[in-house]
Amino acid sequence: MRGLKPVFFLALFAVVMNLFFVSGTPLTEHGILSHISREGIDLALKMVLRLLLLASVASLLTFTTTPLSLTDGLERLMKPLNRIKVPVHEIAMMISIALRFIPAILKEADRIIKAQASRSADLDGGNALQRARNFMPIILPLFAGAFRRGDDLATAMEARCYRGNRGRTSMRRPGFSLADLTSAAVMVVFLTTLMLVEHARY
Amino acid sequence: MSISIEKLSHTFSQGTPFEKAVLHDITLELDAGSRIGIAGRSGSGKTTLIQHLNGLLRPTGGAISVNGLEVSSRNLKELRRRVGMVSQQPEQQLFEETVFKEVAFGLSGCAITATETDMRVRGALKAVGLGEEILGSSPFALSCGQKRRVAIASVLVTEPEILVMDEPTAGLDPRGRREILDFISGLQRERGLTLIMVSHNMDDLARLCDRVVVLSNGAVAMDGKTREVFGDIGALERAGLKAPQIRYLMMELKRRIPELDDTVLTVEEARVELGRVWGMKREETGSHDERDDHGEVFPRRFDYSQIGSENKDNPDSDLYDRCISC
Repeated sequence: MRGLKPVFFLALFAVVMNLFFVSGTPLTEHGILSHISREGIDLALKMVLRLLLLASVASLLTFTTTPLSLTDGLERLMKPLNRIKVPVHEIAMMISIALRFIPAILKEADRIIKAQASRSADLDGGNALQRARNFMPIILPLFAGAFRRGDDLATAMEARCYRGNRGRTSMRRPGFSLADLTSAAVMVVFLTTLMLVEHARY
Repeated sequence: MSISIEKLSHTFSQGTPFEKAVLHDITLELDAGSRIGIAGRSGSGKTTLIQHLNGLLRPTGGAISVNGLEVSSRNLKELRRRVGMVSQQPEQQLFEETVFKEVAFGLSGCAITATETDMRVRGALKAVGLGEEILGSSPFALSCGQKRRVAIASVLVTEPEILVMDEPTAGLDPRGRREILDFISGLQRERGLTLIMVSHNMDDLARLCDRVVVLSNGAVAMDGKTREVFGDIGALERAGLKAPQIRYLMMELKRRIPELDDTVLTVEEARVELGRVWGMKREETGSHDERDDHGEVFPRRFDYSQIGSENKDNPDSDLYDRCISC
């Protein structure tokens, strides 16, 4: 339910727009309900359902799969691209490192903001140009810190014999399981039913 | 300038499921011109507490006032000018093109002339022991020690009356540590600043502070003169800290030499105390030792004849035996 929050207002907006601005057969002759058409209700419902489904599926994905597993899966899917010289492993490694460092960088940003605010309390005033310049005291140290961290990490990885993808094996080996097959089967059945239902209407 | 903290509490993310109470009912009176150390293990709330001193955080309970004025959003600018806070590893916050601009950053909110800014920047650099030749260089081209000094200068440039330092010796080698502590000490004495130093290095606090406040789990566990606080090892260890290292050695020695006064804070004090007791013992046994220019006993020559079973009756030999064997 928490995952549906972002879409709530969008869904509401869609409902209102569809209910009142779609022309077609009106519900009643007079009054406010005459502005609502059957087609409008139809479209509104469909839109809401689509949005809800989109949001719930996305939430489900993020609630059940760790970012690292997602990256692993992505890497496996992209493997064929290796043939056209796309650096699949490097991209996947970059994504997982970036994910891992997000909390660290957020914390450092907070620290830097507090330090700079202690020195000069003028960080939120002025016109657009002034405000843009006010970012420098935060962005520059953050970047410098990120480069320093990257350097340290690279050295650490090399010290642990990381040489890229050559001869690299993983501890976790995600494979196809019964759960995957069942969910795929359910999806296929669902999609076919949907298509048939849509088709049957016309 | 004094600081008055009354029943200060701070809870992060109040009202959300992530609510976390970090400080509970802290009441402290920090007198002007004093040197106060704030100690506590990681997570005891030290940094949270000092962030209240210059208005970075506002208390969710209780009040804090600096020099009689309560901390509020209206006087933040003035407050931050008067309360200089040097954060941990301050060399990481440098960003300007030149050292001059970096140090002058602290004055960017003030309405002062260019000549005044120039004077203050030069004054601040001089105070940290850096020469004017680096004014035009990039802060990133300096050595680590110089960077730290520039960062401190950029806080001193607003001529604060209260100086708050968060772990000033973090990441420094022993010599660097000594230098920076001596510098802070000299600065405080020269300008009569109120110094508040947060550290979990007990030796640093012992060297520098007159008064130590120990925080434990967000509340004040101990508060008193340095010597008293570091004297109560039991309470310190309950708060997750240890006394200055030299104390443990002296306590161990006191078990063998009851006349020893083990309430020392620094290695210097220990040396003097040991010299005193050694002199006493030597006088008892009637032997002579060289005395240095200050009249202190300097046991430069170790009398090996005292060691061994022939002198079991001699109380001193027990000491030598144990010292050798351990």
